[in-house]
Amino acid sequence: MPIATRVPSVRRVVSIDDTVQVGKAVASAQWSSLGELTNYLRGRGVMIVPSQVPIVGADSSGGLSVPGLSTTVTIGYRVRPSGRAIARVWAFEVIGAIAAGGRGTITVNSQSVAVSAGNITADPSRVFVLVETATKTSSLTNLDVTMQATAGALYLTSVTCWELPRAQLTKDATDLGVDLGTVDPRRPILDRDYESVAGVCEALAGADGRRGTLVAWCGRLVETTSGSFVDVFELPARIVPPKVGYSDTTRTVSWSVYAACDVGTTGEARVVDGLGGASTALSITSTTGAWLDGSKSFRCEDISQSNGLISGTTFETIQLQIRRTAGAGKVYVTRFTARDDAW
Amino acid sequence: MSTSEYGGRVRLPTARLEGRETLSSHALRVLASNAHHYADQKCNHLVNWTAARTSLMAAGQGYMQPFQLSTSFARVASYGPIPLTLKPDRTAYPVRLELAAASSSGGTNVDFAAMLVSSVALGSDFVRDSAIIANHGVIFAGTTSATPAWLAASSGSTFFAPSQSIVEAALGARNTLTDTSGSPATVDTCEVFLVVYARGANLAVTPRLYGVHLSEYVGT
Repeated sequence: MPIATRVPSVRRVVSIDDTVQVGKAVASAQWSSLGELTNYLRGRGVMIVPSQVPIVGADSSGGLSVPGLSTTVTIGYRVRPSGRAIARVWAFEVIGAIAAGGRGTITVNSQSVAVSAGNITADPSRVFVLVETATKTSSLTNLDVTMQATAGALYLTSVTCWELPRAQLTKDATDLGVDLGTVDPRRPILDRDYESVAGVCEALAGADGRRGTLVAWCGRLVETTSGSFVDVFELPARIVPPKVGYSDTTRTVSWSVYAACDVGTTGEARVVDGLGGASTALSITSTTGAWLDGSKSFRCEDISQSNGLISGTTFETIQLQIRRTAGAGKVYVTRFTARDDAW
Repeated sequence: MSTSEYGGRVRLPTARLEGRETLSSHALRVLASNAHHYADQKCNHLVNWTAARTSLMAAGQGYMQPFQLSTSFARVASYGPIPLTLKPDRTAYPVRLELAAASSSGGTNVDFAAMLVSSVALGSDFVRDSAIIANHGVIFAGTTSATPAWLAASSGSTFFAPSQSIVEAALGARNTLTDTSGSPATVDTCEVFLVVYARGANLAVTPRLYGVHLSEYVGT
């Protein structure tokens, strides 16, 4: 028996060209398709961490074998979940030390898995962790991952995280799952939560086309003493924010940076778009590290182009910049995310 | 290219959608257009990494390089599993695939290639050009520059639809629950890996990978 509030695994299309016209009643087939598409939009989840390369490591001897490495390393991301997901898929690629390889653990959200990797020329080990979340949230969330080496040394060379789609939605105020049986032919039109035409309208009003995280970077410590803004990345990251309104050419992107400074030193961080436009600079004052949040307008996807790029050729880009504003010490960053999270 | 009638979100007064209000056929067209537009836009940046500047690091480097130098394509990195978004006909949304790279030795050529595979075991350590082309991968134009730059494609296109054979092989089901404290259920996914390869003109040069971008677009 089909699940009443199921989430389709592929998107649906509502056929409206000739069948939905002024003066003609709308058939239940259209409402049924729209109900399925609405459940799809609300249940598919978003990308949490597009695959990235941390290139950070942990050494079981605390730096005696590989200078500069501790026995544990923690990476982190600041993300905004969809609000309906109940599980996240984490995938890691790990390599061992040059000669001896390594063993250890990776811990995500209190779930630990054992890791064993051969030497640096061996096939990388892949670690897969499915994390079920206790609550559904769309709040800005910090996600940390810790890797501990118990023998030899380990390096994280790839991290990916995405929300597992829902199999079905619940008929409640959070999920707004549409009971698809109530939009079947010959069923009465009802004004009732989660059912019939009213349920579809209510759920669609809270649906969106969010892309989630556009870029997430976490890696080795980057530092500067420069009093002028310096680029953190060798090349700006390429991003394609979604187009929302018909006439929109730009889209607000939220960004966060995890930054710190030496005692007696302060700094600033900002992002710059592909045209050189800079965001408001955020002050770096924490000596232990803190997330700073900002937002800026970027050029969005051009849906008139076959590849969606600006004029069919140009990517929008985002570059993170930092500088020291006072003191004689250094300014540091280790984490950065840019998100499409405000529909 | 948009599949929605209006090519963007159209806001409706809330009162139009409340009980005891007549819902016209035009309102249905607007709602369907909005839903189509959301579905068009709801696709992912699957891989998006750019190297931090090595000159700003106290130790180590920001770029990736192959663990084994080779004059044949050797694996640099693999990413995934990453979830593909599917259209109603169960084909995948097209993707944009971009690589940024450089040579460790200015004047000496290095080449890069990348392809999607349904299982990471299929992304072997070394591949020939013909295997990349046969797997609908992209071979990028070689570079002799020591300055990182995004590369153009020399074989294949940086904007392409994942092949149907890969999509069908990548279809599967994952175990989940119906809700946070619900009953066991399964959910269908289409998961692939992106594998990046590099080679040098000789064994004295090291290919350096500075960026990878893989994003979906609803396409035509």
